[in-house]
Order: sequence, then structure tokens, then C-alpha cells
Amino acid sequence: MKRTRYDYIMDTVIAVVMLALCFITLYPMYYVIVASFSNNQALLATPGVLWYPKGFNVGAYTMAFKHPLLMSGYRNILFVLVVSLPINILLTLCCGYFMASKNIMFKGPIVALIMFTMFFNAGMIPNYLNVRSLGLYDSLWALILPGALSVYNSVICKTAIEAVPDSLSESAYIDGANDLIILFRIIFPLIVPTTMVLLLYYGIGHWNGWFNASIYLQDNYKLPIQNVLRAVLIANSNILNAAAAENDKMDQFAETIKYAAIVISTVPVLCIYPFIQKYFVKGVMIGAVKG
Amino acid sequence: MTGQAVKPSAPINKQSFGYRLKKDFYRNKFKYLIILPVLIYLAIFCYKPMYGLVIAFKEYRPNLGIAGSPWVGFKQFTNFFKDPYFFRLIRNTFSISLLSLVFCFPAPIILALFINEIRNNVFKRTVQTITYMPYFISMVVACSLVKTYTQQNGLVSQIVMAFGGDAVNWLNKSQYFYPIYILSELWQTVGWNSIIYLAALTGIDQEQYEAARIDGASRMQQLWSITLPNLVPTIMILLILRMGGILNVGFEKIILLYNEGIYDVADVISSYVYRRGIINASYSYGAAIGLFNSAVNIVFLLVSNWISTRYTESGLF
Amino acid sequence: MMGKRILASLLSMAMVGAVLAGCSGGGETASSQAGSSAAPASSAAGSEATPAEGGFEFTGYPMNAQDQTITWYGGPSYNPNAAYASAEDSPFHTLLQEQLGVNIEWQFPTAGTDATQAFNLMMAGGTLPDVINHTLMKDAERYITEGTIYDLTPYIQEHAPAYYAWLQTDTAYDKAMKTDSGKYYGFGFFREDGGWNDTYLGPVADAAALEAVGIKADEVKTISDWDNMLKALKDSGMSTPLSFAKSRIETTGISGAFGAYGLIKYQLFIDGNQKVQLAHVQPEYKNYLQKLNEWYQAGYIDQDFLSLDDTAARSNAQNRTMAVSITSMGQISNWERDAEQNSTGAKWVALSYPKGDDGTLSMVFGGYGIGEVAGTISTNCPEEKIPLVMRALDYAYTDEGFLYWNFGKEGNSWEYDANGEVQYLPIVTEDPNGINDAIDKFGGSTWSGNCIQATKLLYLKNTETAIACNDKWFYENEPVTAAWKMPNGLTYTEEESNRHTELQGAIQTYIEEQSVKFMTGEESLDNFDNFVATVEGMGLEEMLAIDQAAYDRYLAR
Repeated sequence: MKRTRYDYIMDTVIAVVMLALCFITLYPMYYVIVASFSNNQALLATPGVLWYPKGFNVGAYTMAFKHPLLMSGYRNILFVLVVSLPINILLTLCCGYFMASKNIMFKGPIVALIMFTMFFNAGMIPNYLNVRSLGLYDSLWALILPGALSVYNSVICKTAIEAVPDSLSESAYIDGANDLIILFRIIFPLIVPTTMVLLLYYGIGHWNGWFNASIYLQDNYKLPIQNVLRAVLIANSNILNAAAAENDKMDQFAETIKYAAIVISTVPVLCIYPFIQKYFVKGVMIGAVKG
Repeated sequence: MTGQAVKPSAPINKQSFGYRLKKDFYRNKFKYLIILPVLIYLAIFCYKPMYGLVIAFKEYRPNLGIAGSPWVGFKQFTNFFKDPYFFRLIRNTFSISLLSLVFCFPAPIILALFINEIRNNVFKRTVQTITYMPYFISMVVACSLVKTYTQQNGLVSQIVMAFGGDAVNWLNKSQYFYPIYILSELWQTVGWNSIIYLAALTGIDQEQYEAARIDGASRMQQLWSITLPNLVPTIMILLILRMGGILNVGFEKIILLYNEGIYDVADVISSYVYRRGIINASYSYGAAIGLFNSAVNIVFLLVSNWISTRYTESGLF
Repeated sequence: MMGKRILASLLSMAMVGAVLAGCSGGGETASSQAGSSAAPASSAAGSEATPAEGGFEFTGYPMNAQDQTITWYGGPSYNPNAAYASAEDSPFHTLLQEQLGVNIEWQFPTAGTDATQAFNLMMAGGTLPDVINHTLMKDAERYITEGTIYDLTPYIQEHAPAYYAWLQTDTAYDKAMKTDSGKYYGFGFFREDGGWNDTYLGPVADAAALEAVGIKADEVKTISDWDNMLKALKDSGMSTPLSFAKSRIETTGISGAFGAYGLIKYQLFIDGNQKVQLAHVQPEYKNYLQKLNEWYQAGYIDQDFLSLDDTAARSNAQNRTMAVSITSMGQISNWERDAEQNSTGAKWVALSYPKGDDGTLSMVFGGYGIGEVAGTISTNCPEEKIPLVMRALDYAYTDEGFLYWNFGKEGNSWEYDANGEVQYLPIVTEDPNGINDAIDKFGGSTWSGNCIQATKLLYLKNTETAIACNDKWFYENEPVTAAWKMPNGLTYTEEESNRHTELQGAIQTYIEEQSVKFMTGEESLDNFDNFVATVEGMGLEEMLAIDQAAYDRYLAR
């Protein structure tokens, strides 16, 4: 197709805007990396624009990697991811499949029950008591089970399933297949892109989450990585941590370690990301949940 | 569809409820089986703890348990309505929520449209990857970056000074809190939230565009008459979901960013609940505010769903 | 249509109800299983204690009770040094078990978790450890009446003789650790110096920078001197002469010079007539704010102070962008070391707490040498175990335990030198992260605990300059240091406690935000009277009446 001058102008405008956006987005992240390799005091003295490390220094990383909980932190989050992602996906598929099905007598009310939980939850104290009464307190299962299903993600899953032509499942029915076979043998392979994106959604949620761990766990050795890094971050801040004010202890890397912690906690996610990115093209759709 | 295809001839109207029940179960037993784990999960982790909401109507004392704590009726609620900060909390929560609705909600749509118009695939991918990235940064860290940048001699001040402005600490001034909040929110989520729109865009039938091109429609015209209308269902559903969370402004970001000087604009319901309910151990008071919050959310959800189904014919349910 | 929907809804509700009943049954079994799996620790310990019931004879430390386990929540006070993953690896905590001869299952807020949040959730959960250490003095009476913690009165003389003897050395100690009705509720934190270290912060200055503008640090005494000093420094080109970490000024700062009693943070004080007052509604407070606002507007005060923490303040000190500050002994030690290492030429010394030009000084930061925490015994601890637990807590107040809680195990982290003084061994003095960090690997009294903090510890921990600073802050003003202070250890009744929480919640938020606004000029001080009226309208009188009653009861103990 012939391209008009108007097209070229538009492409240029888009390119410029996008480049500017990339720069604005990227600079803070670049800053983080540069700052993490800087000298602590030099960094504090110059809080402004930074293009290269101020007094190159890897002390913050040495310090962070020396943290006694770092390895157990990675191990715990790995366990949580490995165990909970299959559960997440399984429940989401079940939920999505049901919501996408038609001609079920109790579909309306059941869907209403499901959707209701999206907007109404019991609150922190009742949830905490519930976890305790189930015997999950101070167990990594407390990070896995209570959030095992996201209704929002189920709606995405449902929309993807609806996009699969009805004829496929209809012919399967005629061949004598039941819903379990249809869901896992026929539909699931067709919505792999959506599943991958949901994996990422759930995965990022687990990776970045720290609040549940801070209320449901008792043992430091069970903390996931985000909580460990949080401990590193606030240990030196007497704004976030009242005890530090009287304790009078402070790290020589107090400022740079903050940035090192960001890098340490973000790099693993960024490494996985490219493998999933190709699925983004057709991965997530969202649509109504009519009963 | 599928069920009827199996048993097409049944005269539905004349059957008794019991018969229909039996038939439905026979036809859909596997579907019920499939949803069973979900229902069990919801029962245990969502509905069971909801019993705990009764503490909103009690004076919860841990040693007495939920059941044993004394009833106080609506006292917690009336206390909240009489709270000197009630109106301020509502106002701030709505302000932040509406501002992010106005700015953070359309931004991913616009970004998705932009990305969609990029022709070079490598560039397209790069833009996507870069804009998603900030989402992987945890909140504590993102907020400490914001604080660093808004110091008196920080990045923002330096830029402002380059244009002849004054260096101030931007987070100490009430009037700058919302812009800072919204901009940092945009930075962190715009790319991530555009994923869903990008997916919807790829789902649009390419023939529509071809037909439009043959008719001589410009790219702008295509955008207005094909792309946007195709996005409307997605937009509306996300909008309704968003309305269902109108009072949910996360406490974490607020607590990390605010200070006494800007409580008047920054203190929201969730941060207040955290301070009162958890830090001051007024468990019941916190629960009552939480309940109020959910109730308002649901009203907004239902109203916006109703409006949307009425005027755009797309709704959540 | 609607009717059908509702019917269907009800039906499915019933369905889920059935499911729910099914699983809540399951849930209960799970919980009872969990209960029984969590319980072995305590029930087994209990059943082992039963044969020993009445048979637990205390014969000295170690107690030879290794077969018994005490669950012990340490709160934020003596949590393991960050170098250790948990208390099981920390020398102080493991060696304490050896010294005591009993197993301890330590519990602390997990790394990075807010201690108050952890405590409140633990209390809400209902499964409590044997020992709970927290800042719970005000609610002690309530916890005893509710049956959450034990009244220790029947046990204290027999099973905690050292602690009891210590409390008798000073009526203030005894008073603080009893409720209004005379019940002993816990094991407190005391400073051997009786309050010297409660004044651990105060004004400091870079003497070299002052000299450069012709001012001698020793001669800065009154608020006018401060005016001159700050002006001279600003005129000499220093960007922010006065800077500080927010947490260092928000409690009192230099309010004494104005006859005021606090800054920003909610603060009650006792006036000359033994009346409880709120610092922020006094006319003197307005004068204080006026001055701070004047300095803020003139650019003397760091505009970033609301978001500054010690790390940032330390950097300002090192980069010499400031010359006057308010900080603690520990920070002064850091600043001094930084200045030496980097030869910045800064010379940090203490300034006197400034007085008003008429010689007024109402208060300085300080206290009575009694901490706000108490180690209590929860009713989850079986009664027959109380003697053992009491002995475990009492250890800290014995001569041997005093040394252990402060310095660690003799021969391991310290030994006596030729003069019979405690000297740290290289394991502490040569710690790669510095002595300051190493001290609490071995001791549990650095800033709070269920013990007596040794004055010697502070001397070993801080540099000479820092000690000299504190001497100046404390001794120059000894008469006013704590005279204004609400004593730690007041207790509220349950009703008072609830009402007070409500009232304070609102008032606190308001005064804190308004104080900052007045200070930065966002709000004009002309509105100060309105501010006072608003606070009064929030129920100030009622709140103060509660505090007054609690204080009167305290005096009457």
C-alpha cells in the first residue's frame, strides 16, 4: 500500500512521543542502577540528576548479599511460585470455564456469589483469624491458599474461553467427551497465550506481595524475598522504623543499599519476562459475565 | 447451546421445577464438578471469614473471641460518621480515586492506541517492554524514589529551577500531593494496564480496516470509526470494575508518601483504618469503616453497571 | 424475572451454605488438628511440669529445666541483630537459654514488620506466648481484669526476689510496675543511671563552622544567641544552617526556651500545679511555632526536614551543608567518626539547651530512667509454670544477669580488666561493622529490654565527645529534665482506655498536621486561637480528665 506524506508525519509523531515516554519511564530505572553502584555519601550529597555512578562502589551489593535471610527469601518465594501457580491456573480455568458455559440453571446465582467476593471482603482481622483457625499460621501455605483465585483473572480467562468457537466443544460432546475433557484437552491448548499472561499476573502478584507474609508468618526463615528486602530498606530509616531512632545504628550503605535491593528484587522478574512477552499479543481479553 | 443440542425436543414450559432440576444436574454435572473447587475455596477463604464482619457491630475483645464480644449495634458506624475526619477522609478518597480515574484510566488506552500504530515490530516490542518495567518495582522502593526526586534539591526542583522556578520540597505542600501521586501511579502502571487493551486491539477483525482503506479512510478516521468502537466493551467492563473499587485507595502508597503536613489532602479511608484499626487496635472501628467502604463500592458498581448496560449495551453483568 | 433471580439466589446460597457447613466442619477439624500440633510444645511441657509440680525447686542458675520450653515474645526491644536470621542464631538469645538452663522459643515481629502491627495481630489471634514484652503499661490493669495476663503479686516476692528487691530501691520503680489497684504486672526496663540516658538527644553544632563566623559554641545560650548564630551562618553562604532528622525534633526540640513542652508529636505534660495539660494548646507553644516559622521562612531550617531521617542528616553533617542540629549521642559518635575519616574539618560539640532571653527553661528532653515496656506473663502459660517463667525473667535483675543482659557472657564477649572494669573482647571491638553494631549481638539492653541498662554500656558504646554532649544536656538542666513528664506506668481502666483511644486518635492527627503547617507557614499563626478552639471542640477536656484521673491514681499508689 502506498504511504502518504500524512502517514510519515504521523509515524514520526508516534515515534517521537514513544521515545520520550520510554526515556521518562526508563530514566528512574537507570537512576536506580547507577545509584546502586555509587558511593553512599557521594550519592546523598547529590540527590539530583545522575548519569553515571558517583564513586563506583559495590559495597551495597556485598552488604545485601551478606544478609542472612536473602537465600531463604529466594527459596521461599520459589516454593510459593511453584506450588501456587498451578493451583492459581487450575482454579482460574475452572472458574472461567463455568462462567463461560451456557444453559446452567444455577449459573446466575453462582456467578453472583463469585463476583460478590471481588468487591466485598471480610477485612484484615477476620481473615487473619480465619488463617489461624485453619492452622495455616506461620506456614507458607498461608501465602498460597488465601489468594488462590483472583476473580478478575477468571473474568479474563472466561473471555478467552468464550472466544473459542462453540462448534469445537459441541462436536466433542457428540463424540462423548465430558466437560473435564473439553476443558483440559480442547479448550486449554487453545488459550495457552491467555494462560501465560495469567501466569505472569499471578506470578508478579506473588513476587511483589509482602503484606500477607508480614501478618501470617512468624518465623524469619519463612519470609519471602520481598519482606527481606523491605527489612533491609527500613532498617536504616527512622521514619519507617521507630526503633531505629533509639537504636542509633546505621549502615554505611544506608542509601545505596536501597537501590541495590531494587535491582536484586527486579532482575529475576525481568529475566523471565521475555519468555512470556510473545504471548502478550493475544493473551488477555475481558468481557461481560452474564448469568 | 450445547445442552439443548443434546436434548432438543423437551417442552420446557410444562416441566416441574424438580424435573428441571434433575435434568439440569444430569446435563451439567461435570460443570458443577468443575466449579466445586472454586466454591469450596470461596466458602473457606472468602465467605467463612465474612462471619467475622459482625465485629463491626460489636466491641471486639480478643480474649472474648468474636462470638463472645459484646454487641454495640451501630455505635462504630455512628462514631465514624461523627468522626471529625469523616468528611475529609471521604473527600480525599474520592479526590484521589476520581483523579486516577480521569488520568490513570484513559492513559493505558491512549498508550495502547499509540503502540498499536507503531509499524516497526522491534520498536513496538521495545516500547512495550520498557513501559511494563516499572510495574515490577515494589511499592516501598517506588515511593522512596518519589521522595528522593521531590526533595528540595532533588530532580524535580532542578528541573523547575532550570525554568526559573523555586526549589521547594514538593511533598511538603498539599497542593502538589495529587499530581505527585497521579504521576507516579501513571509511571508505574500505564504500561502494564495497556496489556489488556493491546490484546483487545489485536482481536479486531482486519477486514474492517481493509474495507475502510478501500473507502479511503485516513488513519485517524480508522481510529475513530473502527478501533475505538471495538474497544468500547473492554473499556466499559474495566471501568465498571474500577467503579466497584472507587473507595479503594491503597493505604501502602499513601502511608509511604504522606507526612503530617499534608494529612489534609493525603489521609484516606484505608490509611485511617490502618492507623486506627491496626496500630491503635480499634479492631471493631476498623471493621466498621471497612464495611462501609465495601457497601459504597458495591453501590457504585451496580449503578455504573446499570448506566453502562443502558447506554452502551455492554456491562459486566 | 426478579423473583426468580432471588429464588435462585437463595437456593444457591443454601447450596453454598451446605458446602460452607461441610468445609467449616473441615476447617474446625483442621484447626483442632493444628491446635493439637501447635499444642504439643505447651501441653507436653505442661504435662512434664505436672510431675514436677511443686517440685520445681529453684536452686540457682542455670536452672536445669532444659526439658521445659518457655515461649517468649520479645517485641521490638531486643530483637536479634540483623546479622542473624533468627534468635536461634543470635548469641544473646541462645546463650541466655544456657545461662537460664531452660529452653526458650523466641518470637519477634518478623524482619521488616511493624512491631505494633505484629503485637496487635498477635493479641487479636488469641494464641499467646508465655512471656509478652511490649509497651502495654497503660493497659496493664485491663489485661489483668480481662484475664489476658497474670497478676504477678502473689508470686513476685517468692519467685522474683532480685526484681522485687530492685523495685524496692526506689519508690518510683515500684509505683511504675504496679497497677492502680496495686497489682504487679510485669518486668520493666530501667536505666542504672536513673535518667541520664533518657536525655539522649539535644542540640549540637559544628564548632569549626561557628568559629568561622566568629561564634564560640560555648557562648550560645539563649534563643537570641541562636538567632544570631543562624543568621551569621546563613549570611556566610550556608544553604541550610539548621537541619535535623524529623524524629529528632518532633518530640521536644528546643521548646524549653519558650516555656513550651513539645513539638509536632502529641505530647502531654504535668504543669506546676500537678495538672495534666496538652502541650499544643498552650500560649507558649504559639511563641515557639512563631520562631520556628520565622527561621523556616528565612531559610535557616532545612525545608526537607519532614522527610529527613538519620541517614540524610548524617550526610548533611558530613557534607557540611548544616552547622546546627538536634541529634542523639549515637549519631554524634557517627558524625565524629565520619569527620575524622574524611577529614572534613567539622568539629561536632554539644550546645546548651537554649533558654529564653529572660532565662526561662521549662523542660528538656528526658525522663525518669524507667522504660515504657513491660515483660508480662500471659494466661496461656499454665499456672504451675509461672515460678519457672518468673525465675527466667528475674535473672536480668540479679548481679550475674545484669552483666549478662548488658554485655553478654563473661569470657565470651567481655572480661574484667585490671581495674575490675568490664572490657569488651576483640569479638566486639573488632567487629567489621563497628562496635556499635556488635554490642547488641551479645547484650539485650541497648535501648530497651526487661532488664537494667548499665551506665557503663553507654560509656563503652559512645565516643567521648558524645558522652560529653549528653553530660552537657543533662547536668546543666537536671532540675527541669523530667519534672514535666507524664510518668511511664499510668494505667487506664477499660472504659477510659477505649474513650481515650477515640479522643486521642482525632486530636493527635489534628495537632500534628496543624503544627507542621504553622511551622512551615502553610497556615498562618493568626489562626492559632481557632486551632485551640478546634482541639477543645474535639473533646480535649474530657480526654485530659481521663489522664488527670489516671495521674492522680498514680500519685496515690
